[in-house]
Amino acid sequence: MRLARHELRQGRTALLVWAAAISFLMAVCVLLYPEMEGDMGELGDMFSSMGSFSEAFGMDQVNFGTLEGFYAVECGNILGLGGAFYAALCAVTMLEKEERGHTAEFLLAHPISRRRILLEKLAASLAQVALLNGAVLAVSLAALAGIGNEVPWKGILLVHLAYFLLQAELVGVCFGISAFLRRGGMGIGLGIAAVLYFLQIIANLSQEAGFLKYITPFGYADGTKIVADGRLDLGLVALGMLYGLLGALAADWEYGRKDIQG
Amino acid sequence: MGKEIGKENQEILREVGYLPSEAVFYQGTRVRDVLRLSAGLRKMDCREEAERLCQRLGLDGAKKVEELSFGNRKKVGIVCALQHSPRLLILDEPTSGLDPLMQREFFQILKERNERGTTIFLSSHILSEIQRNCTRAAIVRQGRMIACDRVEALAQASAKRVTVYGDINISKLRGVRDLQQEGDGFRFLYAGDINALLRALAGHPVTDVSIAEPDLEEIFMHYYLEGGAGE
Repeated sequence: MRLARHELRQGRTALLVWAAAISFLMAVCVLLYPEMEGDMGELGDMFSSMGSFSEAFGMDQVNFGTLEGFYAVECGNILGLGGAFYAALCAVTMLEKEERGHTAEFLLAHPISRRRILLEKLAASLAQVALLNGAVLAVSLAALAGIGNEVPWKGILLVHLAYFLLQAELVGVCFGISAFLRRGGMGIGLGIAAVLYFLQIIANLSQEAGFLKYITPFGYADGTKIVADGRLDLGLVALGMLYGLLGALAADWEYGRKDIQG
Repeated sequence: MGKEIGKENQEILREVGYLPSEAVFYQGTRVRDVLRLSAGLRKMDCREEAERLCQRLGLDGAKKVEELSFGNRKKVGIVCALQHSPRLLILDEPTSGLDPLMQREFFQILKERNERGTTIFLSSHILSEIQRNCTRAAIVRQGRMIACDRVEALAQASAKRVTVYGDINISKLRGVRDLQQEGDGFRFLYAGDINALLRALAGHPVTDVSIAEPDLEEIFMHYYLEGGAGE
């Protein structure tokens, strides 16, 4: 796994920055909760009764006044979007950067098969996403312990698991796209993450657009819905993992036959 | 090597050291990290040999690759190609960016490797270095090899460089190229029958004559401009 270790080394600054930024924002939100808790009685009702706005962000499904509800909404906005951006960026640049940076000639001069390159780079992407989520979870749990409230473990862990799965799906899909690119992956990665996020908002707003939840991973990684139901929608999760797997298989198909430019 | 390209690519690459004409490495990495990565991708520990080569080439392992000059980046590529002691070396313009002293050291290393049994393919536009350091040379034009032989044989197979002084007329001589007037004489490349040349000169009062093997540069031009012996 020499190449995977190299990728982890190469990506460590980005990982540290993203993990620090997301963890910091998560911790700030959690630490603000006790101060807001007292005012939450009326505020919670207000947040859950703002019509379309509440529906768009799932605030009609949970009580924003509880720690679990508050966390689900905040987590959705910070870890959901931030984690999706990071995962997409990480994976969509993983293969194309070798051509963009003209390092493909160096890499392919070594006795390592293209499939092995793919597997190690995919493993590095997933490991980075796992490390990011581990760090964010650790900081969030520390912040939750710091405020002294009883931690709603099940809901919080399910929410974190859902966002990890979302990011894993994005890694697979963006990795597949990366194999088709020669440069310009970053914009595409950010665009995909943003579009998928907004697709879920649209799906929440309109029943007619409800089918979008079968397209976007935010359909199953919806913190408010997970907290309200107390479980993940395993059907949607399986569909999402299938998309991720198809992305990885597309990468294998394209990268194996591609005329890679040094 | 007795291996088939395509089916046994990994086995072949294990025995090959390759230096591209433009050596580019991962931004943010140090020289020693690049060397370790290269060795690691070959599942080998080449630290000792890498250290020895870095010392001979004056390469600082602690430097980041983006801080390196073109020549020093080339040295990193050279160490990557050599550190695992491959049986076959393919070097594309290896000396570009290297100063003359470093070029001498580099060719000394290649000579040592060659004596230990390494086959070396070297492509270069500096034909004098091919002439000085290679045993065989091939000339490639438009992707096709138009000549391949020992360097001396190539020189013999092509034109002679003739310098002649005196009151002479070579207008009827066939095979004259690159004709230049020099004082009361001429300098030209001659690819025709040598006896015809001697007869032509014998009919005139010649004060001085020199017939020499052309250098590789002239051989190269001969094959490029004339299409070579076979065309």
